[in-house]
Amino acid sequence: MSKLTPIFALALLLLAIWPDVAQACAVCFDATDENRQAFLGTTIFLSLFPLGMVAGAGLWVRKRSQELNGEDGTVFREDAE
Amino acid sequence: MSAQSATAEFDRRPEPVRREKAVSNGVLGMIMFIFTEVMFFSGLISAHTIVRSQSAGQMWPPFGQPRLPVEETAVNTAALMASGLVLVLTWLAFRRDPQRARIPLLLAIGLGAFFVLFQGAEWVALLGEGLTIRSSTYGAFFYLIVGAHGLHAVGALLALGWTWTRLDRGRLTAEQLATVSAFWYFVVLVWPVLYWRVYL
Repeated sequence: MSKLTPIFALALLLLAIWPDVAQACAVCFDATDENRQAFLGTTIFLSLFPLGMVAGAGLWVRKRSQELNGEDGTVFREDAE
Repeated sequence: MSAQSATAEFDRRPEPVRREKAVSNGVLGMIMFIFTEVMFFSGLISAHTIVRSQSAGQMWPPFGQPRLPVEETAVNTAALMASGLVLVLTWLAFRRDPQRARIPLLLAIGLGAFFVLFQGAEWVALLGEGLTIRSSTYGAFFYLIVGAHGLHAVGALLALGWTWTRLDRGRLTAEQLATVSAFWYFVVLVWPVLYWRVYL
C-alpha cells in the first residue's frame, strides 16, 4: 500500500461527508423570525448546557479532591515513615 | 540492587491512605441522575419554546383557552422556594446536632406538600375551565411540563419523608440527607425556570 493511500482515503471521506445545505427539517426554515430564533437558541442551549454541566461537576469534584488530599491527590500516612 | 533490598526499599515507602471522599457515592450518583433530569426538562422547555414561537403575533394562550393563574402560582412558587431554604437550614442544624434537624425537616416537607396540593387544586380549577391535555397544544404542554415536575416533587417528598423517619429513629446519615436534599434542591430550582417559560 502506498504512503499516499491513507491520505487519498481521508480526502475521499472528507468529500463524502462534506456538509451541504439541506432542509431536513421543514419548520427549521419557518417564515417567522421568532421561530428561527427559537430553533437557533434552543439548539445552542441544548448543545452547550450538558457540556457545561459535566465540566462544572468535574471541576467541582477536582476542587473538593484537592482541598481534601493536597495538590497531587495523594495522602501519606505520617506514622509509616 | 538486589531483590531483597528493593523489597525493603519498597516497604519503607510511605503508605498511601484514603481519607474522606471528595464526594460521597450517593451524592455523586444523585448529581448524575439530576443531569439527566435537567436535560429532560430542557428538552420539554425547548419544544415548548419552539411551539410558542410559531404562534408569534397570535394569541397565547390560544383563543378559547383559559389563562393560567400566574399570581396564585407565584405565591405557590414562594412556598417551594421557602421549602428549599428551610432544607438548607435543616442541613446546617443536622451538622451541629441531628436531633435539631427534626423540626426544620418537617417544615420543609410541609411546605413542599403545600406546593403539591396547591398545584392539584389549580389543576382541578383549570380542568373545570376546559383546559385539558387534549384541548390544545397549550394544554398538552402545560400538563406535560407541570405534571412531570409535580411527579418529581411527589417522589422527592416521599424521599424526604423517608429521611425524616430515619432521623426520628436516629439512623439518618449525613450522606443520606445530602443525597435526598440534592434531589429536592433540583425540584426547587428547576421550578422558577418552568414558571417563567410556561406561566409568564
